Amino acid sequence: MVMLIQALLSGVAQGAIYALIALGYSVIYRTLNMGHFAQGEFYMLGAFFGVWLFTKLNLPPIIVFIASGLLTSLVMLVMERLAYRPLYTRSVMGLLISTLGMQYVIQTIAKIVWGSDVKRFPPMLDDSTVYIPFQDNRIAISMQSLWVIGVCAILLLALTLFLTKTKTGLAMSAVSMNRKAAALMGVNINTVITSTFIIAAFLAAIAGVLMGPLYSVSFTMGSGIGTKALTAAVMGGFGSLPGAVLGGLLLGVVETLGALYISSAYKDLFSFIVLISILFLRPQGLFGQAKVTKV
Amino acid sequence: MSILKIEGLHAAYGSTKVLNGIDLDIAEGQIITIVGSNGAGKTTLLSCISGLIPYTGSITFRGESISSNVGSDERVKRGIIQVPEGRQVFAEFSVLNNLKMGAYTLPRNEKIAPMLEEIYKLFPRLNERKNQKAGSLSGGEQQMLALGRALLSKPQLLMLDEPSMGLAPVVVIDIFKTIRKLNERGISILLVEQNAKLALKVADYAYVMENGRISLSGVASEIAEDEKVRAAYLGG
Repeated sequence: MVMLIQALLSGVAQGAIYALIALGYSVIYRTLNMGHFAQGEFYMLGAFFGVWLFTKLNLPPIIVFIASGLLTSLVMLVMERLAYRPLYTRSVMGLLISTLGMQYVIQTIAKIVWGSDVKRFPPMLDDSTVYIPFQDNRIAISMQSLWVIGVCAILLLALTLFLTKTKTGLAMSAVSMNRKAAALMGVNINTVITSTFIIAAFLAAIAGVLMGPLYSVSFTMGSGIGTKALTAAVMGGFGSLPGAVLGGLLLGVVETLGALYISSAYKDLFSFIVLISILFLRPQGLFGQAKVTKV
Repeated sequence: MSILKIEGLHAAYGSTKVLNGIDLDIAEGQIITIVGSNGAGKTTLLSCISGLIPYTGSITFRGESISSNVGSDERVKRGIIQVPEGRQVFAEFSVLNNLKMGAYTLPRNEKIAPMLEEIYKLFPRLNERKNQKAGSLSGGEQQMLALGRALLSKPQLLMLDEPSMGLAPVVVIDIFKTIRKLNERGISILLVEQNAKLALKVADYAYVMENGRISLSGVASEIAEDEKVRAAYLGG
């Protein structure tokens, strides 16, 4: 029982990270109807900026989080202008290929700038473990996991408020529902697309800073987690924001429980089995709406 | 005085030419209608005026020339507002949020509450359903919502694309009465309509469009009497 609760907790923490990156996939999919394959690389960039700001400039954690998020968003801004924006008026396939290509461009640039060795990200936040008595045993909870869950929850709340309460957020949802009508209301579509990419980059970067100290930082760390988060987004219903969160949490928990009760060697297998089962039963994902397309 | 003047307008989708030199003039405070069959280029013309697709030729709004690269948002700010074909309401938004989107380009300090009151007075049904999802409204209610939303953008020129499409005849009469009412408040109106009979009745001036060209224009009541127009669009 104690083992189960501990595993659930670390599963939720891992899942929250997947959820942050998956949200990025989903906000972009909502506006552009396209998967952003370079999404995982922004997780990696966030972690690298975090290490640099924390170890070289000795900035306090809160500044490290915000500054890493902003620097990563800046990279996204430049990339969007150069590699994505010229393609908006053409077939979505070109844009899709461009995001695939940018995955390698960012990885290679990161390798040139920071080198190919694995970097250690010293613990930034409280890394102690607290014990809570439970029946005649005790549950070990790492403060790191609690921080991860807490920060993710705050970001989720902020994103929800932004999308439902602010004028810009409302415009973003309007563009995702009906681009032509939004343009006719005077919404600048390109500005909305840019904001979408920036939100996606910021969320992924925060996830990177959160996870950096738990693992290690290297230029390849983004692609694996990018695939996982994409899985989470598809599971939850591609384009659905609550779906991305639920998909992420589900994936994290399934992986951790699978590793605990079956074998950690098959960790990745469990998530893909869940993905395939969900897609068999509900092809539109957990929260997705079945789309009827007339041909 | 003309509010909108179009000269030699050309537009194409890829290599398919849709508009082949359109000349059109809308006098301030009038209702202008464009009649024509499917595929004549009426919707494309509205898209050009709204800045949704590129064009060559000149569009002059209130004496100021608007080139093809002026964005749709800038045009909305100047008061060129379009209610697109098929209503295009934001289906997942509440009626209220749809209306708020209409006020998107208004300055932040502008109070929209009194404007909403105005809209609700014009369309009491929208007030009853303000918290309902727009997608759940009937076709007629959606058309009212699309009109109300457009009014919140403070139109100087209101372009309506097929406002009667798919609506019950009783509702169509209502919508056309509203169009008249809006015109009496000083809004110039460009009406694109399949129901030529009704459009010619309500309009001051009419253009007949064929294959991307204006083939005939004149005072609406005279166009309605034209034999060719009667044969082609008014069922003889």
